[in-house]
Amino acid sequence: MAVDSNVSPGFVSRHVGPREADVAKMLTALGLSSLEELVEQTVPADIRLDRALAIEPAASEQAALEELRALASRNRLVKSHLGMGYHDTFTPPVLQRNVLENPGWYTQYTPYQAEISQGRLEALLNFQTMVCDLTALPVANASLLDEATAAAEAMHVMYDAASDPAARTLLVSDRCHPQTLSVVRTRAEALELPVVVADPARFDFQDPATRPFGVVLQYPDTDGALHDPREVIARAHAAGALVALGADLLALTLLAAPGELGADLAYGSAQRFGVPLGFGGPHAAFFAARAELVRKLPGRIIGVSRDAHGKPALRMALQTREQHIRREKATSNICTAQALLAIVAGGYAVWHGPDGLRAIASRAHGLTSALAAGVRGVGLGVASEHFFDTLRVTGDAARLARAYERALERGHLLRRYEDGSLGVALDETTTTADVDALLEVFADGRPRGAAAELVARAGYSLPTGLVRTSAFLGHPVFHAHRSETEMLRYLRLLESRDLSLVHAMIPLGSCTMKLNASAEMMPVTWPEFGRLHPFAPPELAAGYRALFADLERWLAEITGFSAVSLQPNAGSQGEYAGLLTIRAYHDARGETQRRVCLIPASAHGTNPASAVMAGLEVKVVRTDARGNVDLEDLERLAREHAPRLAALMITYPSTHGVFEESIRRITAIVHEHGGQVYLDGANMNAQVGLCRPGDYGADVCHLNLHKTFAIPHGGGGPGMGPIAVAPHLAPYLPRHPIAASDGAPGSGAIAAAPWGSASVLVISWAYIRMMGPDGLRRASAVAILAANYLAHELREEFAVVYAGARGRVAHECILDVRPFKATSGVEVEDVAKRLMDYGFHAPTMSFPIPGTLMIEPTESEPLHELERFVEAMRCIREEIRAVEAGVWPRGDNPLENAPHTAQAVCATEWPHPYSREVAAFPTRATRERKFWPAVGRVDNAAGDRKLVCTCPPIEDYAAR
Amino acid sequence: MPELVISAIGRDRPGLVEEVSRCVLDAGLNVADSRMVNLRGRFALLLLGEGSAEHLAEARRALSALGVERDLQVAFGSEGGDAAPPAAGLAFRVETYSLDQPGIVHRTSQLLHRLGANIEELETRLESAPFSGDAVFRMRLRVTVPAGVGPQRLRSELAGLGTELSCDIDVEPA
Repeated sequence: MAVDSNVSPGFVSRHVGPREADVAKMLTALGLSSLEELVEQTVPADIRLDRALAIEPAASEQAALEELRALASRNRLVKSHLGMGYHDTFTPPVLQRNVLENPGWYTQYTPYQAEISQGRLEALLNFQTMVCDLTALPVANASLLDEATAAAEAMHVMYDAASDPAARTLLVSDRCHPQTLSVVRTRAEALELPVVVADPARFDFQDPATRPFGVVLQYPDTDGALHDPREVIARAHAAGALVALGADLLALTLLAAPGELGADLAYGSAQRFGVPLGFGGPHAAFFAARAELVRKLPGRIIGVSRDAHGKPALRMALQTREQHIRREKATSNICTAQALLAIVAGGYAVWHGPDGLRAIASRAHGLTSALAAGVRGVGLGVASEHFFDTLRVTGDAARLARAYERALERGHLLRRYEDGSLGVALDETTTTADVDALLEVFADGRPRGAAAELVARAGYSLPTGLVRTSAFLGHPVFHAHRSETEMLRYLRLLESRDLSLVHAMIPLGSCTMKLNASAEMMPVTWPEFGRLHPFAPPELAAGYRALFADLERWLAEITGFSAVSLQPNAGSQGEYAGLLTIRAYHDARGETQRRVCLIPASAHGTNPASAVMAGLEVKVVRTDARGNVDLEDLERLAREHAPRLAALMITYPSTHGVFEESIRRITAIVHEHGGQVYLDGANMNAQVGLCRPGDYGADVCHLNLHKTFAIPHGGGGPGMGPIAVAPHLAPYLPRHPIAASDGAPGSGAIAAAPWGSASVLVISWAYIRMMGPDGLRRASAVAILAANYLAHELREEFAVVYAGARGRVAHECILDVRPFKATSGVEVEDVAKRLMDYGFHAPTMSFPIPGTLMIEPTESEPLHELERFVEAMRCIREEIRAVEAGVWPRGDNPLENAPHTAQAVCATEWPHPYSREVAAFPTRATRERKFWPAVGRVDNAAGDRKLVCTCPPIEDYAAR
Repeated sequence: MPELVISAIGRDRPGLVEEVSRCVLDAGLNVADSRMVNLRGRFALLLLGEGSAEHLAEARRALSALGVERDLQVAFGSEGGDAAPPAAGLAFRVETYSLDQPGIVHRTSQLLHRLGANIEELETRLESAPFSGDAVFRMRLRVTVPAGVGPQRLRSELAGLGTELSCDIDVEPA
């Protein structure tokens, strides 16, 4: 199927940037006659797919939206009272329109380049401050993937911090949410840590056989009950164990905080702070800890530092904890988190302030108290005397079964327990009419009270010892933006400080920053997709189920595999889940000694970090002088470890941007020695429609939907990382305790929700639907063309570090900046900062090779943007030459002083040997469209020396 | 067998290692152990050679001449064969990661000295971190820790220092 055939005008030509004439021009520059010829020179012949993908032909945007509306209408919207960490909420319209639905907020990348990310960094700092205040713990991170994985991360922290190596047991309250239990068990099992699930009040902390290193509690518990955890915490501490308290964020506005109760860690979901249920996500989880544990914290932490001019500047702190630097020693494998949703949750707190949040909480609690009184009034029981917003209703099983059905008929979904009791969780959206409806259902024909009267009479059901007395959210930011005009301007101000795809290409290698089309994004916030609880029974989610079936089928076809799991809610989670399927496969065949995982030195840091989490032993495979996996070293290691060989993790095309010719040989070597091949699908954008992992010997791969399949990066999440597997691994895909179980065996859950962040799967569905097989293939070919074009145009200024056998790169190329350090003192960081003055986000720095830039333009960038980038890089090369020649001194030149802020350029004093114009407007393009970095170069070392991860006093902001 | 420690420092050029090692080989010296590193354009070599007294003398002569010819500072250490016995205790690998700042090498070696540990090998590197481009300072040490100091204590003392210096520290048995 030739990629050059005229694709009918439609979405494909809206998604792919270069027009036909542009493609022709680029091909000519490369000495090629067609895209097909480029593909032949790039993708090895023995793995090339010689047919079109068997998926439906492209639909137009309008047709796809119609199909999505039809799918959406097959979801049944009900009021969800299931609780278990997911509560319906009102997304403030000002946040929905100006953040969630605004590409100026959702197309940013993770804020590694702090100078052009001050907007979201401040929004995330607000989130961290909110979490620290509500949990009364001094350090918090900028989000984790979900509540259940946050509990598992807490387990890692407690294990790492344990003082007694003999204490190996994790004690988990039997009242934690079921999905928390499943995810934690899965993680603990991989590390061979025994887990005891029990009532902590009755646990014997002194029994040497089960000495715990950590305890996980839920507050309020999964049934909604409130118990004072202080005593358990004290006993745990006396036995040398740490305690992690899973907490409800809204409840904390009325209840004593985890830090005040003595907990060492607090975690939970921030979903109910204005983030739609989304049938499971995406949602931000929060994570807070005592100060001494800060270096063990997983995830991004935003910290306050200062820039080159001494002004306050925000940046990601303590990065040496993280996988991109510490690899197998990292505190976690987490990379992409849930930044956009943390921004919304923090925005919710900014919008409502402490008084607004308390009012929402009090109202929910008041309605729950009224419901409890009413339920008791009709002869049923309420399991707990004290609760926040959730009840467990007990009584005659047959009567309760009738109540469940009648409630559902009336549009209220309750939680059903095995013993017949029913759970009812109320929330911000609950009305007195809802309570009336529930009372009628529970009354079962008997006379009952009216909700309004019960509300008026019901007192509080919070235990006196647990009522919160401390203040929170005192920082002015939680009080200053209460009118919509103020909030709107604040959001737009922050947005203006972030460089995103609405401004310029973000050519980050291995990140695939392609178009996130409006037609793909619009359905995400439709109520039929947004307001469904993840544990709603299948008959209520028929639309989602059909969408998942389509997506699984398409992803299987694209990867050449047969089964797909949509549960992993990040690439790192996909890696972890995929490695678990491999491990389970070996275990099922009685080969439990297979625990060695071979990983190339050039692999992304999440690979070794995930391998360690899966209980595997990492052995590093060398790369040869051409940047490919060293076959001799691979063979040697595979032979040496053959009886214990579990897997090889490989990225294809390589992280060096090359389609290694020997890929079939590589997979064969691993199979010969009894191992399985895991393919890291981060570079899928060069493969879709051109070759398939299942065809060249991989056994499992993950896909980054937030790269290749158009889910936006959100400034650091959400992401999705589904895995596709060959038939022999299908029985070991992750299952879920609550939903999606067909009774088949499988691994335990690895994410809180059965289909991960389900609502954003709509985006990838729409992308594949509107591109069709020809469009997808063309996108891959044009992505490869664009990267080769840039490498070609810049070949005189910068050496391309690696290329394939025929001199072609894949969809990304690596440019060498190392030589300039010796000749001019200019480092790769200086080039990255100087690119900001030219209005660009830098390419990926120093990965996989220190001192280099990895450029991935993607197929979405128009030719004129590629040329603007070429111009910028050529000018930068000229500037380096000027330093080499001594025209500008080392230590004082446009590169080392970059980025230049408006304030610096307009200051009275200008002591530099180059003009202000050269500093800020080095090209005509910058004069026409200028993006100003909000701060000068950030002093990262200062920020790590003294960690400040909450909002500084307001005077510091004035200093900007 | 008599030993000679040789150090050579000078501007890095292609072929230097070949020339130095040729001198050593022609002098009949056996290379027992060596380290060579390029420090931002300067070549630095440390070499332990073994041979007869005549071999050692010839090596001294040849390398001194090479030093004059190639503008290398060449120095020679003790010829005695009475090296201190290897320290008794447990071997560990210590690695630190942090953003560059003064004092890490000094404070870490000070702490290890206080514990009675011996530093067998030390290497530091300043490298551009993936994605962020920050200059990350990495230090790798091989240390021998006296038997009385257990791995627990080593880890917790180093962890305390790490908190103070804002530095992540890994300790593994070597």
